[in-house]
Amino acid sequence: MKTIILNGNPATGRPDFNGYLDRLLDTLLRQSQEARIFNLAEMKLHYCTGCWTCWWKTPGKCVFRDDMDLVLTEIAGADRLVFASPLSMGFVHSTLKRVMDRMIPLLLPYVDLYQGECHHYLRYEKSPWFDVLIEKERDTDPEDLEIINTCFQRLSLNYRTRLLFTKTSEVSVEEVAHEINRI
Amino acid sequence: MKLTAFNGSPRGESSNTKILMGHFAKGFETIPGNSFEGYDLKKIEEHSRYAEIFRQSETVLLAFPLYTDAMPGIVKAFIEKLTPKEVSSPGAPEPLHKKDACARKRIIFLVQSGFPEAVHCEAVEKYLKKLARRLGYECGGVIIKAGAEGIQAMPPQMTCKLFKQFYALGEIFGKSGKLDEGLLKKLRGKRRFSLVIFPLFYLMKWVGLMDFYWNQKLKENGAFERRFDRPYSVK
Repeated sequence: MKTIILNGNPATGRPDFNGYLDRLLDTLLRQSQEARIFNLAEMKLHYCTGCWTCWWKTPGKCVFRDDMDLVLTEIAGADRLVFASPLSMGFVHSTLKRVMDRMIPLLLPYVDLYQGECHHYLRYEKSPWFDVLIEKERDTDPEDLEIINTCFQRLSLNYRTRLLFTKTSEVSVEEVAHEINRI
Repeated sequence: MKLTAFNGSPRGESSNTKILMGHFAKGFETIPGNSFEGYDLKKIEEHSRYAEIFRQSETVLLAFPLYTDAMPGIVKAFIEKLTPKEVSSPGAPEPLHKKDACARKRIIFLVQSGFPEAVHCEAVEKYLKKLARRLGYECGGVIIKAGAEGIQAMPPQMTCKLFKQFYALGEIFGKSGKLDEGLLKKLRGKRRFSLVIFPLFYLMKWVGLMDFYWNQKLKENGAFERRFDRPYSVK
């Protein structure tokens, strides 16, 4: 099984969170899992401009030639995708949201009814399962966590996959690794 | 009343968000004494300055298209700039934005999506209501408009009613400082398709109406044959 972790901790963010994810990566690798972490803050990644080149000009490929090529190659071949980020103003950091926006080349422009709602077709055979791993901010409350969980549930519906867990970094690395290993 | 508006569309000037905002602004400005000022969040290098303008405004509109079930990345980056500057130490008095400002400052939101059902916007709607509280602002409401992607490709007779609704919404807001519930409901439309729509959907799909727009664009760009390409497949 191959797990990709997208780390949306900004350069000015919390170093503890990077350490936490590094320990998670080590644990997964020790358990002879294939795993890779992308520290998005250190990568060259443009914001999506909504130009739709990836849908109607160069199908499946973004107009920008930056590090997203590598990220998309890895996601397209992954079984599991972990969206990891410290919270900021009640949501995952823009460092991660920027990459989420850039994931649409994985979808086709065409829409179909899926679970009774309009959703895009997948460009590739399948999407990885999704997980969310967040670090709380000072004023995070249960409502914030619920909102984030709902947003990612919606996202998983759009990628015709499932959100398997939403956890905070209060949970031990071992427990997260165990959860990832369960399937 | 002065309304300060932030357009969160990465498409900036040529965005559907800006068009809808424009009709709202026109209605709003018909009321004597009202003024409207708009800023494009596409200009990321201006975010710090815009955040300062945001803080100094009494009434704010934040508008954006739905991107992957939430706000676009540039909008999230802007929201991060709105974090209250001073971090209060324990026991210190509540910061101003939590007390006095509550009663005064008001924020309204506009979210428009390509998908035709309102259900897609509900999660971010909850987020925005919470955001208003986080900022210490009164939330004047969230305008949801689903199925807005095609408005620039549609003939005027198809968008006329929609633009009039945004104009009226702006006009009423300009007068009363409130978003009209009836109009909000009309704009929001159906939460999900009812079962009777399903056969119609598949009929449209079968005759190629659903995919027509995309196929036309693909053909214009000479990319139709490559429409199912998988450039990131591991060989």
